[in-house]
Amino acid sequence: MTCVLVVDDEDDVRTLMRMILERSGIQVIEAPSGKTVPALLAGHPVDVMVLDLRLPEIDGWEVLAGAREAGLLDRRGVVVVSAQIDPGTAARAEAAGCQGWLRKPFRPEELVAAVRSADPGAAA
Amino acid sequence: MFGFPWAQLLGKPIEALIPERARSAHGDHRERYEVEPTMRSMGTGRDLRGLRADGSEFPVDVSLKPIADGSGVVAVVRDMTAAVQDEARLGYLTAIIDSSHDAIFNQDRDGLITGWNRAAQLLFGYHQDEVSGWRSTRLVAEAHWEVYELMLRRVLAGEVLQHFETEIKRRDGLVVPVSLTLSPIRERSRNVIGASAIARDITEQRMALTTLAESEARLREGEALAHVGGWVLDAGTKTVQWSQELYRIHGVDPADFDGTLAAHLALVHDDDRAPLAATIDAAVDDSEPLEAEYRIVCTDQRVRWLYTRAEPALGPGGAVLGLRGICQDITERRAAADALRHAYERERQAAESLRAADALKDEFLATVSHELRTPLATIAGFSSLIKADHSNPAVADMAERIGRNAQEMLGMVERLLDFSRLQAGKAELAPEVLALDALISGALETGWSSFVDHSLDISIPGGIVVVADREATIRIVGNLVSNAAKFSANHTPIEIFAVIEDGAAVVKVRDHGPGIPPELRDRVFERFFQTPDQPPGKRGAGVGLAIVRRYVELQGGRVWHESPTDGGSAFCFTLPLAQP
Repeated sequence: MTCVLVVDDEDDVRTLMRMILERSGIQVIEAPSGKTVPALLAGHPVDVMVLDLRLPEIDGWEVLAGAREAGLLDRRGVVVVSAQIDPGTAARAEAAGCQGWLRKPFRPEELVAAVRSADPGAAA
Repeated sequence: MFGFPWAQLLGKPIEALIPERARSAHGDHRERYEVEPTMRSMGTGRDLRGLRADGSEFPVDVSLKPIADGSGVVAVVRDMTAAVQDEARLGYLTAIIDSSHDAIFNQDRDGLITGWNRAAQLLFGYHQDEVSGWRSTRLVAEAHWEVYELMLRRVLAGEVLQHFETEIKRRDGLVVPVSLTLSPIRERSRNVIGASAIARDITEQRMALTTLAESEARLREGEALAHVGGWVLDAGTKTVQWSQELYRIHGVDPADFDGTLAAHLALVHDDDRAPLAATIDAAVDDSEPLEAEYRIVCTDQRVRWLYTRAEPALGPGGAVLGLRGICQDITERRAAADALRHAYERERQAAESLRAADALKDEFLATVSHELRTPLATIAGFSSLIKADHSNPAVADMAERIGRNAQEMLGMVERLLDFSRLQAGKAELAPEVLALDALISGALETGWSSFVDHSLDISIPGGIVVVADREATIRIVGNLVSNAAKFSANHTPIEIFAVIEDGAAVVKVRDHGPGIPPELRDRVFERFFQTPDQPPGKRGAGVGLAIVRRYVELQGGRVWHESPTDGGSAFCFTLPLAQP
């Protein structure tokens, strides 16, 4: 079963994502900020991280860089989420090794599709 | 008369008294006279000459009378030398008179015209024959008759009247000013037998004088109107000369001004006096032009601004004698310029605060839209989950309604956000080379508005490649299709098709709604424009088409509205074709 780590500071958005993904048979763990991300990645069999770029304290890019440096993203997919995905953001995400991006607000099927295509296990 | 002694002539033919060259002709005349001898004047109209004993010639007049018994002819010879000389003198005089540019005419003791030169004919317009015998008074304009008669009487009494100005009346009725000189004409016995008149046309002279007076008046007027006065400074004596206007500008009576530079400077405002004096000194010392603006305090304590400009006046050898300048009252001009500057400053401040308020409004709009999006998207997301999960049809229906409204609101917020981004000039486009059919169908899939109540009839030919920004095109198509859906009845088709026209791809979105009334067609692209009859329950902010136009224009295209003959509306926009 695919396992997704959803990182978003808004409880409602996390819940919505969890419910959408669970309906598609995907297991979800949640993180309300970037601080707990390293521990959660280290302690769970996460396949894909869905990461909001706009986070309090540590922003999404820093979380991404830290996790990458710690070797926590090897063989794992990343989908970045933001209200503003412009061509610059998309290019930066690709350069940071992300497999996809999602614009807020999103439709349920867009989230599922983005997660599926970023899952290294599914792609293999 | 001839100088011959009697004895020398006796028995000689009469031809001895005639010059050699006329002798043979004379012989013929004599023979003819002998055939028909009557008394007559000989050689009338001929230039008859006598020959003196000393060989000299002289003019003669000869009369012949036959002697009654036919025995001979008596010839009476008159020496004409004096008469011929008089005639020549008269000829010279006539020539002088005729060649004069002044009109000359004579009158006898009764004031009747007896003579008239060519200039008189030109001046008065009459030929001599016409005026001969007229009273000369008739030549003068009626208003001056009495004076003229008086003058004429004085002249006939022996007085000469020179250059008195009067007016004559020409044949064509024109009254001309003349300078008239009247002098008596005397015969040998010194009796006055008439008067001669010399009339000179002084029209031009009069005009010149009038013009001079007028131009002087105009100069004064001009000085006064322009508030420009003139001044001259004598550097040696430190004295100044002012024009009339300069006294007026300073409000100083010429009698109260002693004409010294010191008196001039005394009228200058305390703060400006020393700088002006220094400027004047420098101009004199350096032989440089001077230009200054300064204040004066008038006698009534009013402060006025003056502008002055002067050039050095140079003497022989280039030495500076002084300055020659003009001076202008610029108080009103400065006041106007100050007022203008203040008004401009106020305007600038107002514009700045407006701009700041506008920027604040844009920022507010962007923030609010942005913050509204996430909760709206969450509502829409949850309602779709409820709808999908719930087995109770009533709950599913409610969830569907919640979701639809949330989507609609989300669409509005998206457009407002778009609009504020475009307003702020923050929309950055990244044009790509794209296949039109894939671009349009992708745009329709990505749009959040649901078009479930309409059938989309998409007909984009393959092979059209355009240069377009994907996001901008999504916005354009999304807005046009949701507008079409909003303004046409459910279950009517919305057609989306494309053609190539004039080297560009034209995409048309056509609905089968009521169409747009002609009077509103030009206004639909204005921002915040809303049709007066918005469909019930279909809200909008009035920015959709303004956004469309902006995005189309940013991509180098244009957008317009068409009204198909069979009803509905078609909105069309162009995208540039990619270079093959």
